Amino acid sequence: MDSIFDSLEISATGLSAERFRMNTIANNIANANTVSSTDEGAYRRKSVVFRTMTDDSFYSSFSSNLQECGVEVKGIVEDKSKPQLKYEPGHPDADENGFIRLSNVNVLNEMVDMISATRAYEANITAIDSSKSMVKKAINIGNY
Amino acid sequence: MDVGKIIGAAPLPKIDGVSNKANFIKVDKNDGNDFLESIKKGLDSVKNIQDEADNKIQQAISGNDIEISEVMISTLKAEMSMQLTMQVRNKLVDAYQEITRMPI
Repeated sequence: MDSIFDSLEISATGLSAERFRMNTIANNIANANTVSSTDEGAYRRKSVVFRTMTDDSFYSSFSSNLQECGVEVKGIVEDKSKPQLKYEPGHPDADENGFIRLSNVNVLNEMVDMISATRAYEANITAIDSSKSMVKKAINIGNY
Repeated sequence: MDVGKIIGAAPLPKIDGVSNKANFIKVDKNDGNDFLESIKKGLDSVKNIQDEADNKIQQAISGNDIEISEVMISTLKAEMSMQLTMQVRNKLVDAYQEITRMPI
C-alpha cells in the first residue's frame, strides 16, 4: 500500500479500535451493579488489548521493512481479581451464608479509561484532519 | 598578460551532456494516446472512490452496521480526489488557453 490516503486508513483503524474499547468500557459500567451467587458467575471487568496491524500479505514477507498499517484489537482480557462480597441475606442471589457477589468493576477506573479512549479517538481525528490539510496543500502546489 | 596566472581564474570547463543534437527532448512518436490513457485511468479511479463513498453512505442511511468514521473517511477521500481532478482539469485548460494565445 502506497497512496496519499494511507494515513487516513491507518487513522481509521485507530478510530475503530478506540470505538471498540469504548464499547467494552460501556459494558463494564453497565454491568457494574450485576450480582451473582457464585464467584464464577460474577461479572469480571473486561479490558481490550491492542496490537500493531502488519501487512502480512505474501509479497510483504519478501521486503525487509515491515509495513505498519494501523492498530487492531488483539483480544479482550478479564480482570481476575475477586468479586466484592456483600452481606445481604434477604437477596434472592445470596448464598447459604447470606453473601452476594458484586462485580469487580470500579466505576472510577472506568471513567478514567473512558476519558482516555475519548482523547485517543480525538487524537486520531486530529491526525485525519492533518492528513487532509496536507493533501489539500499538495493539491494547491503552484496555485499561489 | 597571462590570465591563468591569476589565482582562481581558470577557463570554463567543458560541460558534459550538452550537445548540439539536444536529444534530451525526445518526443515519442507513437500515436500520442498515452496521456489520454493516463487521464482516463485517473478519472476511472476517481469514479471508483466516489462509488465507494456512495455505497457507504447508502449503507449508513439504510441502517446497516457501518461505522460513521468509515463513511466520513470515504467521503473525505472522494472530496480530495475530486479536488485533485479539478486541479488537473484547470491545468489542462490553462495549457490549452496558453496555446490558443500563442502568436504565430
